Amino acid sequence: MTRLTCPYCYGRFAEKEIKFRCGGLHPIEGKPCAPGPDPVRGQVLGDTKLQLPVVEGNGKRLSARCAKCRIETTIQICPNCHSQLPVHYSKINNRMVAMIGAKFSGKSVYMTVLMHELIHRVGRRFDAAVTGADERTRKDFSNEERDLYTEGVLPGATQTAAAERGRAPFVFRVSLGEHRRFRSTLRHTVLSFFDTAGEDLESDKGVAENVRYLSCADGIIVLLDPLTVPNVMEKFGLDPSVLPQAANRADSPINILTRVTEVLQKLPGNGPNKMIDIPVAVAFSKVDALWEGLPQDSPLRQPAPGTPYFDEGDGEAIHAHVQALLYDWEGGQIDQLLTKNYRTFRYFGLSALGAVPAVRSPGQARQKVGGAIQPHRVEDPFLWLLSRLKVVTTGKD
Amino acid sequence: MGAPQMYYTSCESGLAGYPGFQFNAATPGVGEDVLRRVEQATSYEPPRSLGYEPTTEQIDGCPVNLCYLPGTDGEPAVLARTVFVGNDYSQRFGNYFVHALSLPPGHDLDGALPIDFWAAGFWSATQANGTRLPELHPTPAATFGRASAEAFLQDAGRLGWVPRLLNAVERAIVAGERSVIVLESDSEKVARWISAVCHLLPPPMARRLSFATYSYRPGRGTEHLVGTVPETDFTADDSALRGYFLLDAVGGQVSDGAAHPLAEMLAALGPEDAQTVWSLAGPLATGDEPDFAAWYPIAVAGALRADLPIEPDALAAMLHWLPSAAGRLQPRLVGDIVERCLDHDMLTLAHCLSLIGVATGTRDENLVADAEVRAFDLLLDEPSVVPPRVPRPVTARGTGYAVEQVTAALSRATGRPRETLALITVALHARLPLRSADLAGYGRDLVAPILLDDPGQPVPELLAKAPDVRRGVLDGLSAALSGREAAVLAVASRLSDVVSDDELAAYPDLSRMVLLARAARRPQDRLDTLIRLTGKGVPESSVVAALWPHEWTLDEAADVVRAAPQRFWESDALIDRLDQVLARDDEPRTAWGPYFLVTEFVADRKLGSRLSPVAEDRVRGMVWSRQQIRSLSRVRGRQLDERLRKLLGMVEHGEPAVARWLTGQVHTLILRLDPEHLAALLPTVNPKIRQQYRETLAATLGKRPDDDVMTIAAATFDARTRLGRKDRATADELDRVFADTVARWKTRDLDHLEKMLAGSSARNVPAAFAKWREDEVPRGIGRFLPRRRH
Repeated sequence: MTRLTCPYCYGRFAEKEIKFRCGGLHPIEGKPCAPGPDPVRGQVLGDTKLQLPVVEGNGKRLSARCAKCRIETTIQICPNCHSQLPVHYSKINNRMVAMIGAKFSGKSVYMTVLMHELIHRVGRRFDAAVTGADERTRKDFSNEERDLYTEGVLPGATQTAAAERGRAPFVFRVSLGEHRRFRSTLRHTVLSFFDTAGEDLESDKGVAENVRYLSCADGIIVLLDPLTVPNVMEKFGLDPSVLPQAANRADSPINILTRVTEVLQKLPGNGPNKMIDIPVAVAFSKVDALWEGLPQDSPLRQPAPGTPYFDEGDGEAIHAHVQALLYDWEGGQIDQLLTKNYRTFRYFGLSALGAVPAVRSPGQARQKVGGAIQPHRVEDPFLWLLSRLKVVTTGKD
Repeated sequence: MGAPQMYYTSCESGLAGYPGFQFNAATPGVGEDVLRRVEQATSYEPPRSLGYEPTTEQIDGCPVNLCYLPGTDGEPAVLARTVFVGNDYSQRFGNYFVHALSLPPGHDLDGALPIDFWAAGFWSATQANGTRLPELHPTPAATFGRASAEAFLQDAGRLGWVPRLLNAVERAIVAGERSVIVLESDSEKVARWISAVCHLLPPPMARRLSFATYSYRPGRGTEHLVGTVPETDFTADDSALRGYFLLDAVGGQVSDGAAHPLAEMLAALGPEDAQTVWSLAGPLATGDEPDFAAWYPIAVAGALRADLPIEPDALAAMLHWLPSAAGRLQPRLVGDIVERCLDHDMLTLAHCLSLIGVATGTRDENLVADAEVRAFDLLLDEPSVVPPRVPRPVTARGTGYAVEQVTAALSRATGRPRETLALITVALHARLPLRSADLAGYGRDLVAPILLDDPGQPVPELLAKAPDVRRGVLDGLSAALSGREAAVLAVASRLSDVVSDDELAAYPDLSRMVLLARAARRPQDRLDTLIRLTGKGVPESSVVAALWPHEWTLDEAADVVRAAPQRFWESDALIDRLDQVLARDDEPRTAWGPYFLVTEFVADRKLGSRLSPVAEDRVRGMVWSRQQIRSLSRVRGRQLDERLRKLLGMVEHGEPAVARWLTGQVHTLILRLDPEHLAALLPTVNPKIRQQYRETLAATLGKRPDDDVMTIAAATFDARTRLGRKDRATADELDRVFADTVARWKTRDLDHLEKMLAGSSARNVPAAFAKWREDEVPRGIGRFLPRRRH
């Protein structure tokens, strides 16, 4: 029996366990249902807002009748956290994509830019409609998008999972294909993103905070800052001032990958002699800083293909190139770790902003982007994961 | 008492060993769980109003979150202050600084409330040099406390919101209902709201209140009371007003909700007076009071002790609580509360009775006497009303005062019957030691005249409980009998339920009147009364007429016949009543039993000659008919036929009652006739009896065929065959009965019947049955289908 995963709490449940929430409509006779405390939401999400009553029903059906007001409701909720599920959640694909990365690797910026690209440019490329699946996602994402794209302000530091209170994942709905008269190719996929703090991958304890999130992931994007790889700065002859002051002291990518691997190995279904099945996209961010040190014909410097499918040939070329660079930079430790533990992984190189942010002027409180945002290959890891999950097709030129 | 402290911020070095958000320093020994709670409870996001180019002043002006989490199950409480500091060590924006205190169980902050530390000087916002911090002795700022909360509430019309706010906070603490969100223009005002709430709540409840003065997402806070400011994740719309308890001081709106009387009272008192109240109420509490309902009477008692004005409802609530609490309180405290209650203008008699009980528990006789005196003062404020509960004084002073007041009031109550009766009732209920002669005097001189003046009024209840007063009333009635007989009779008839026969025995004339009146209302007592009043003589017609103002019914006649002594029937009055019953054409209307009883009785006692001719004929006819019917069980054949014909003659020409009874009897006898007489008789009986006969025959033949049923079936079919030649209509009637009943019999039974009919004296009967069977008995499945009627 297929089990579903809540895109908000990452709890797993069977389709028939889905519950409903009364719509609060006025019945022909009597009074409409009144909101009341929902202890489950209070306990799991810390939300003490009064809610309309929970309606028990068969989750395999798309509606249930409220026992109190006798009115049919179609609002489906997660049985674990009582969050409202996206429309027809159990009947469509739902995929959890986890994104983790070291501190200063640019996860928050990357997530905002990636979603912006998916909604606009990549959406056009794949003829896809990408929309926020709930009101909060739409509101919060538009705030972050405005901060970055309109105001040119980089996001602040992300709080740790332990300090996290009330911040919910971004949940998007991707619609691909089209509706035809006799054969519809329309496919809806729900994507849930949770932005973690870099601190959470600095220690075993922090990683453990994210176990639930990682254990439910259908694909993982590991964002690494190539400038934190030992010897990279020297090899490329870079000025250390391009790095954030404290990034020098950030943990190395190999340590971060090792901790994540240990967490994934402890998940149910994995064992000492088993490879990890979850596809992992290992993406090196901020490649614009290495631009000058890479050859002119380096695949990393080429623009992303515009084909309406994931270009496997282009992806393999990038993978091979980054793999070679890793061997050159740190003797292949990262590649060895991934090869020995992951059945499916792929390297990527990307730049969310397209350029190093401008140097901050004295008295300036917030870091500014510096110019127009020109993302480079930000969608590659995500599209590769979607191709592994059969959401988008794969092709080769 | 020192408290361990913690610093949390995004910094380069700290307890984690890597840069980023972490505990920068802490007092050694602080547990992991405390660190985790602090990290969870203090996360911070600045409001969006901060903008994209904030200045240092704007950052410093960001809302401050003073957060308090009470400890449960032995865990320490946490008091933390979070301030926004802008950039961290790496110049990344979004850093904040938390200074937290861990308050072990038993740390009472030296009597201060957590919110009093809002403006305390010890709060730090700078990182420590090392990772170790000393313990801190927290001291609140003198400028932020009860007085400033009082001033805050008095300003800008805030007081009107307080009752509902307090109520919502209490519900959140006690029942875990919707959390309370205060939206203010800045976090200091939120802190002042929280301060006001904390200084108004019962102190133990205030210490259970968790709060945060600022949260970017107040809807996801776990605290009972959360503050926020404009331009955060929170929108003060209708949904928020319904989903939370929202006090939107910026928009001037507040969620709907009721306010408990205690919330109203505390809001009216204000923080300063509330402190006085709670300090005086403290010794009255158990410490386990869970909610406002439990605290309310205690607070009222505190207010009473503080000489603050108390509303009547509040006093009632306190007096409802006091009796159950008095046992565990110091007698001195109880005495103080009781005395203050007795002086209260709004005290009611019910309250006072409650206070007497409480005062009795203190064993302070003076206190009890004071309460009794006050109770009688209250009681006599409305002398015409008898309250449901009347005080029963036990102290000498209380009793003496009560007797004095009641007797004085009675002396003034002449001409006011309601008041007089109420005062005597009160005296009786209070068990005042009044002399027997005095009570009898009240009955004779006060109560009896009241009753005679208005004989229609209900009997005063006091007479049922007061023999002395009753005696006085009987004296008064007896004395008035000669001049006011009608009024006395009316009163006596009403008194009959409360006056015993022994009491009446002293007043013979009155006694007779009372007995007749009682029997008139209780039919079951009439005969007994007749026997008692008749004694050894015969009933007088006046007595009979008084007891039965109407003609007897048949049942009444039967009752008298059963129970009356032999000599009673010498009375013409009784014979006349019996004659009336028997002469009525429509008797009996229901059962025959009483009619037989009466007619047999008249016949046995040979009373017929004293009846009217009609009644006498009916008795004779009824007795003869019943004898005939009884004797018919032993006769058969011709003799039966002859007797039946005589009875049928009585049906046609006899008395109505006899004819009706015989109609119901003879049709069953016809069933037992032999075929020859049956065939001869049937065409001659009247249609009504024939109809009844057919119904009885159908019911008999419809039963399971045993020997009797077989015999009746054979005789009837034989008679039907004989009738077929001379009376086709009667034969057809019998055919229809046979078709509905015998035709459905089993083949085996029909065979048996055929065998019986083979021996018939009429020659063509067997052949007729065979043909009938061939024509009428359905075959196969048709036997189970409803018969088609032609």
